[in-house]
Amino acid sequence: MGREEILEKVQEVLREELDNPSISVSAASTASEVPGWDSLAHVQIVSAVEKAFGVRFTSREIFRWNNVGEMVESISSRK
Amino acid sequence: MEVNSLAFLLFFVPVLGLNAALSRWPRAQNTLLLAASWGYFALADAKALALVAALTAAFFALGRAIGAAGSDDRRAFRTTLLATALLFWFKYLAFFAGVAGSLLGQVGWTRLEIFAPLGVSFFVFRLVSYAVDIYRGKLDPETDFTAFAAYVSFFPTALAGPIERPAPFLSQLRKARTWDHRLVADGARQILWGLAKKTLVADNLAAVVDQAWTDLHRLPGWTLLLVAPLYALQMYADFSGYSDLAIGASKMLGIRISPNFRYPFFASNMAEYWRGWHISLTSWLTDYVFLPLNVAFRDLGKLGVCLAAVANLVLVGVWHGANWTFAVFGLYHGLLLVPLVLTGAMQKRTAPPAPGLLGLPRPVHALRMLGVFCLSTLGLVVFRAESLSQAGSYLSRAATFAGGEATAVYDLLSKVELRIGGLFALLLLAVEWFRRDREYALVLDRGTPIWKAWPLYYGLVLLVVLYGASGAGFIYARF
Repeated sequence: MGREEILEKVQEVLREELDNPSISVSAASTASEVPGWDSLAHVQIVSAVEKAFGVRFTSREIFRWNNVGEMVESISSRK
Repeated sequence: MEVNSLAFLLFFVPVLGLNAALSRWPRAQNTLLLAASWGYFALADAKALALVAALTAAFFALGRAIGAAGSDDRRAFRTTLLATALLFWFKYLAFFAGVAGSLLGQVGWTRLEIFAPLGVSFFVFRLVSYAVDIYRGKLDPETDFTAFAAYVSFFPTALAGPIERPAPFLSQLRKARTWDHRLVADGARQILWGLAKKTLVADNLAAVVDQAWTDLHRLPGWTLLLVAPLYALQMYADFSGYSDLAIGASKMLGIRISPNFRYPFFASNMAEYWRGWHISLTSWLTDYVFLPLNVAFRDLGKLGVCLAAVANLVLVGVWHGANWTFAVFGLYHGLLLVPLVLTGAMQKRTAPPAPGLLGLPRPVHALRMLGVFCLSTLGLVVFRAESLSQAGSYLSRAATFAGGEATAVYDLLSKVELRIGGLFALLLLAVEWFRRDREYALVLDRGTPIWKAWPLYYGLVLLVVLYGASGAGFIYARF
C-alpha cells in the first residue's frame, strides 16, 4: 500500500472520528492544526486507525509521532 | 525560608541584582541561579540538598544514556522506576507500613520515621519529565550540567511548584536574560498580588478554619457548613497566591513560568475546573499518566477513558501525601469526571459564556459555577481532614445539622479574621471575575498612567499591612 493511499485513508478516519467532512491533511500536518484533534481525541483516532488498517502501534511510537506523516510511516512499515 | 518571608527578600534581592549585572553572560547567570538554588535548599533542608544534588547528577548522566540508547527502551523504564521508587520511599513507605501494620496488628510499624525532604514531589517530577521527554524523542539530552541543575532546583519554584517542563525552561537558560523593565515590573506586580491573596484572604481564613476543625465536635452543623466554603477559598488564595509569588520572582529573574491557576471557580464543569486548578500538576499527570493509561486502555473505548481519568485523579490525590483522605479526595474527583467522559463533555472546550447584565454571570452560568464550587468544597473537606473518620464526622455533623455549644459558636463567629477574610475573599472573587481575561487580576493595561497604577500598589500594600494576617506557611510547601 503506497503512502499516498495510506494518507488518504487516514484522512477519511479523521473526518469520521472528528465528525468533520472538510478535514484535509498532508504529511506535514500536526494535531494542533486539525480542529478537535486534542489529546483525548488523539487516542480515539489512534484506535480507529489501528482498526482501519489492522495494525497495532506501540505506546512509544504513538508518543513519538510529530505529524501525520510519521503516523503514515508507522503504518507503511507494517504493510 | 518561604517565598513570602523577610529572609527570602534578603536572599532574593542580591540574587536579582547579580543576575542583572551578569545579563550578558547566560552561563554565568545559570551558575548564579544554581548557586542560589542549592543555597536555598541548604538553608531550607540540608538533607534535601544532598538528595537534589545526587539525583541531578544521576539524571544528567541517565538522560545522556537514554539519548544514546536510541531504540533501547529499558534504560528509560529503569530511570523512571528509580525516580518513582525514590518518591514512593520518601512519601509513601510510612503510609503503607502503617496500613500493613494495622492489618497485621503490629503497631510498632507506624512509628517508622521516613526522611521526606522538602520539595521532593516537585523536583522528582521535573526529573521524571526530563527522562521521559528524551525517551519520547521530544527533547535532546542537556549537555550543560549547570543549566540542567538550575532547572531541577530552581529556587522560586523549588518547594511548591509550579512544575515546569524541561524544554521551555532549558531553552530560556540558553539565552542571556537581559534586564527587561516591563517583565521585572510585571513580576513585582504579580508578587504583590500573590502576597495580598495570601495575607488578606488565605491567612485570615486559616485562623477561622483551623479553629473550626479544632472545635469540630463542639460546633453545630450549620457552622461547619459555613466554614467548608471558607476552606475552599483559603486553599485557592493560598496556593494561587504562592504561585503568583513564585512566577513573579521568576519573571524578575527573566524567566517565564506558565500560569498555575486560571480562575477555576468560574468553571462550568469539573473538567474545566481541573484545567484551571494546579495546572502544572494536572497537565504533568495528563501527559505522563493519563494519556499513557488512555493509550494502554484504548481498546475499552469510553470505559478505558473513564478508568484512565479515575486513576489519574486518584494519583492527583495521593501525590499530596500518604493519607487515605488524599486517595478518597482523588477518587471522588475521578468519579465526578465519569459523566463528562460518557457524555463527551470532558474535552469540549466551549467559549466562555457571554456575561449578562452589568458584566455579571448569566443565571445558568452562575448556577453551574456554584455547582462546581460546592463539589470542590465537598472534596476539600476530605482533603483538609487528618483522617477519613474526622472527615466523616465533619460531613455527618454538617449534613444532619448537629447541635453544638453556643460558646464555641461565639468564639468562632466573633473572630475578626472571619470578617476580614470573608470580605476580602468576596472582593477577590469579584475583582477576578471582572478581570478574568488577564493572566492574573492585577495585570494593568499597557500605558496605564503612573497616577492610576501607583495608588493601587500603595493601597494594596497598606491593606496588607493593616489587615493581613501572618504566620501560616504555604499549604503546598508541605507536599
